[in-house]
Amino acid sequence: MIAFETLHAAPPALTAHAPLLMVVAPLIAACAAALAPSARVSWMISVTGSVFAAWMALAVAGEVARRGVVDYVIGGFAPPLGIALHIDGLGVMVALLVSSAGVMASLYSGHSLTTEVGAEKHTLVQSGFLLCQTGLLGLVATGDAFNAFVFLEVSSIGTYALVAIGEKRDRRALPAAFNYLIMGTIGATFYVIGIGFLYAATGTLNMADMAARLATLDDSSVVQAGFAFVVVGLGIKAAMFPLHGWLPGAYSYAPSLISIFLAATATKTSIYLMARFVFDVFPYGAAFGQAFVTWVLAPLAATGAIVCSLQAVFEKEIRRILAFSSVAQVGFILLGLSLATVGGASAGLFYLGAHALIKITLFMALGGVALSLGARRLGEFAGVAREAPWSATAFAIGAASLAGVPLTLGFLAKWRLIEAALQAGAIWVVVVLAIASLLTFLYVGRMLEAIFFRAAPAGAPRAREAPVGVLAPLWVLAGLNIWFGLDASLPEQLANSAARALLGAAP
Amino acid sequence: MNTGELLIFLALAVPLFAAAAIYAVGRMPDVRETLTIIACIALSVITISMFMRVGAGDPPTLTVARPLAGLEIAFRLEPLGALFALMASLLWGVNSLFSVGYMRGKREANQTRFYMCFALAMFAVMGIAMAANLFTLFIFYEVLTFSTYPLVTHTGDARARAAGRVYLATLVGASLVLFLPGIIGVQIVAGSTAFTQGGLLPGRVDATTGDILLLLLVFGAAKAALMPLHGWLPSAMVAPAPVSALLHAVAVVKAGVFAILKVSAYIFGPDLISTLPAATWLLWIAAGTIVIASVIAMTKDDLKSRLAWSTVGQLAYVTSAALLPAAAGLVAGGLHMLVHAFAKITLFMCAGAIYVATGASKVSEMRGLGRSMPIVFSCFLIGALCVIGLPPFAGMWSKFLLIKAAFGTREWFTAAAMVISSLLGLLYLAPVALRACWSRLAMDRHAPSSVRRRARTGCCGADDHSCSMCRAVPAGGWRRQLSCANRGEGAMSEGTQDVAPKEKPQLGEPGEHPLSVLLFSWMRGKLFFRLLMAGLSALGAVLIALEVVLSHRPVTSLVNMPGFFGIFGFLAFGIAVLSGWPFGKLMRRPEDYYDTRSGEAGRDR
Repeated sequence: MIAFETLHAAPPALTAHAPLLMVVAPLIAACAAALAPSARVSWMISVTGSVFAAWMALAVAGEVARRGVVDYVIGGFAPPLGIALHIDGLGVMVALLVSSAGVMASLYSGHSLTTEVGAEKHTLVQSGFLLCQTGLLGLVATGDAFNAFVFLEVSSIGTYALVAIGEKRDRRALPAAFNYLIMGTIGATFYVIGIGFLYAATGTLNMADMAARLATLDDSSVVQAGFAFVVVGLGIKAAMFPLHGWLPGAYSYAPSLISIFLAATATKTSIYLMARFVFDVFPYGAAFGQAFVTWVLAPLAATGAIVCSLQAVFEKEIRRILAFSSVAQVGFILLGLSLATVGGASAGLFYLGAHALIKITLFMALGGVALSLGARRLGEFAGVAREAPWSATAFAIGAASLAGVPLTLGFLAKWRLIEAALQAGAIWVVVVLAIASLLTFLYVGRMLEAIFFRAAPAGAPRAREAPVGVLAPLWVLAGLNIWFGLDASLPEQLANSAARALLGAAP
Repeated sequence: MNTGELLIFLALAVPLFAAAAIYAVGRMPDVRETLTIIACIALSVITISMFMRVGAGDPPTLTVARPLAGLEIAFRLEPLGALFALMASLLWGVNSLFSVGYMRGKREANQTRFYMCFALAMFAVMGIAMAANLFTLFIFYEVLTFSTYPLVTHTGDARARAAGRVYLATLVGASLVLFLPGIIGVQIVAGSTAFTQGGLLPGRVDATTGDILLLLLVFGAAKAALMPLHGWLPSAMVAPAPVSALLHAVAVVKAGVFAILKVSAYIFGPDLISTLPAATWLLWIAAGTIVIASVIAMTKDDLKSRLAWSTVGQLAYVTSAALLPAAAGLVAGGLHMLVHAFAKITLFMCAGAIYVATGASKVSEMRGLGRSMPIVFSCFLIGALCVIGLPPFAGMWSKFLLIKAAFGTREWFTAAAMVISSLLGLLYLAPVALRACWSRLAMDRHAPSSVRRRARTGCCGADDHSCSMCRAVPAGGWRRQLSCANRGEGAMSEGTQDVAPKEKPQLGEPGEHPLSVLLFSWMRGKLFFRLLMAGLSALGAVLIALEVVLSHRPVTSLVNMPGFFGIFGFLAFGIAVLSGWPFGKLMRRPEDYYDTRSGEAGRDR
């Protein structure tokens, strides 16, 4: 157990402004990186900015553990008129996730960008990456619905550009980025339309305020329309089945730095925002909110978990397998949330964290191998285990965790999910989880068989072991998969307090 | 850390460390194999001292990690687990010695991976044996699955990969879909999964929940190969013989039945089991598995495949024992697990030895090989008789206890299945060794017909044991024997001329060994059939009489239906008679049924 209550990560002067600094630090770093004289300097700026944000996130975590909720009023204008940052247990968990993923990705980026992106674009890539980080952290920190839209767009604009930069390696990155741009914009537009409706109904944009006023008028059709728009908009951003069309392309063809960061964070923050709206802003128990969770969210999540796992089984390119797997795992997370119990939400959020860690490990291992080997298809990875044993082993650990092999974090995540479903009496959820896990196991087995048990054909391009700068963060992540598999008290603690923050007031 | 905890730690650490060390010295085969043997000996010493300590004082407990609140990876030493650990570690040593010879003899590739995975599998077995709760047991159960997968696919060809896929899909599928939800169900119902003396669940579940959990847990332990989840075991026969020994005797299937025994003894407890209807259903399924597997084993010509089916049947014995509503069943089950392991490893090693020495893998190819490999086939016979359960071999005691427990709890189906399957075992296992010793060589097809005839009449048909072929056949199989026969043509021709004119009235079939004639010809007389018929009729009459007298345990409400037993008996009788057709065809086919390629064998009679 880590006692967050006694965690004073930063001096009091910094801690007081930590919620804002956490968001602003990457923003400032983004500007600095864009102006940096060389690729190396921009990389250093990127690492510094990410580490600083993570530090501030830790400071906020300590404060939240002590006070329950941290409210930070920007510029001294009190809400509902002013903009406020509002971070509770749920926000802390996602913020820690995003910022630590940012640190890992920025460490990794030093090596990956040199082979994947032209040297003249490095500074801009780092700038975009930091912008994206700003957007995601801001989205988590803010307590204002419209502000959330702004941050969502900040992060998205960063990622649209970054996905497109993958075109040096694979021309399909361009249509994928365009696809992502269109879908993402539609999603954001829907979200802002929904916010408009809600503003019309309640006259406020502050989420807490909105929740208080909505409690009195939940039968209004304006509110219902607003709810529908918000959920569909965020569903697109969160790659909720069947709104996930943009994701496989964006994950597969982007530079590996972006795949890593997106896979760990982008859909997760949208899920966070959606959970905020479904369970927090709209008082759960409002008839249509409940109906949505039971009759829309849960069935779609179940279908997504199974259908996308199946797609992953039959997919031929390794990164697309992982991308479809991500959509399926979003289904797992939403299934947990849709149980609408504290246990279910806690299991879902635990899974969210576990999946972020797993996917960042997998994409980083793949990226490390791909630095020397331009392989995409499964067959081209034959024999990589002999040529790059360290990367391959880390990949295997991540894959085992994804499949839910005991002694890894993924196993405990599945355990908690099934436990929560059984406790809520939702047997059908257990069945869906079991089937989807079985399919997960199949595609994981296909990947590992190609990498470990097949000999490389003669004359095929050889892979080289990834450089130490990549292996170090990679093995930290792989080690965490195992460490948390043996002692998951830290993520469990975070997920539990997040679930309590989310559903504490709910029946 | 006291001695007991230290022993637990060492039992886990030694194989794990051995695996790492084997990997490190993989380039030097001699060092690698010495290391393996040393690890075997060390582990055996550890498990023996653990076994000696069982029952003395508090059982030592070692908690390693606590992943989530309420979940522990913990170990505790109890008698059944100590027995399992002891058995596995001793057999690992024997099997490693055998592996060294086998793998070198066959010049197999990837030997370092082989020994490393073997050591990892032992690590998993130790974890399973000493697990203090279901959660820990599940973790190591999965580790065992994954560490044995590279062994099953060792040869790496398409057949091996297909078998590996079946292996993983069945085992992992069952544990994900059935075992894991079952364990989580136990965790929710009882708040823990700790193995508790007398059972964890009694008083905490109603009948329905108990039924569901029992079904989930018993079928989830697919390593126990209870039908219909048995398919992986026969298909895994593509693996090399030491791996088969590992699968069938040392570790894998034993881990399955061990899990079922533990679940029965320490999660449900005999008292709860005796009240659950699901236990009765499972007993029927196990009884069915016992009989069906034995019948299928009879049809298999491939020796390893025959042995695999025999294993399926024998495992169902242990499963039945675990589910009998009496504590006596658990004792019998534990004993049978142990005895069967020792017997089966003997059989598989014999099969491996025969294969390495002669290349013969089919039963039909082994006729007459007994003369060149007398020791191997004697061992095979001993192993076979032990599996069948004939005195004075160990198998007798476990079967005796099993059948006694089945009778004691009035599980007639189970008892009958066990008796029938033992008889069938006599039919499919014993003849392998007997024919190898007493039948003529299977070499004839390839030899010129004159040699062939002479080899038969001169050597085996005419009781001429002074012939050079029967006395001193070199090791190395029938090919060399054939050349020996060619060389000895002149020497044997005299004997042929002597014997051929004496046409004695033949009792047995042409070419049959005289001893076999002596032993079995009485079965062919008409008197025997009459006696048999009379005996069967009397048995039938007694059974009908008993039917009137005995009261039945009302298994289902169906029994109370008027005339149920009449209808049931009629249907069963009809099925038995009708099944005589295919069965008769099966039993009456010629001995050379397998060699239908040329049809020569049939023509020659």
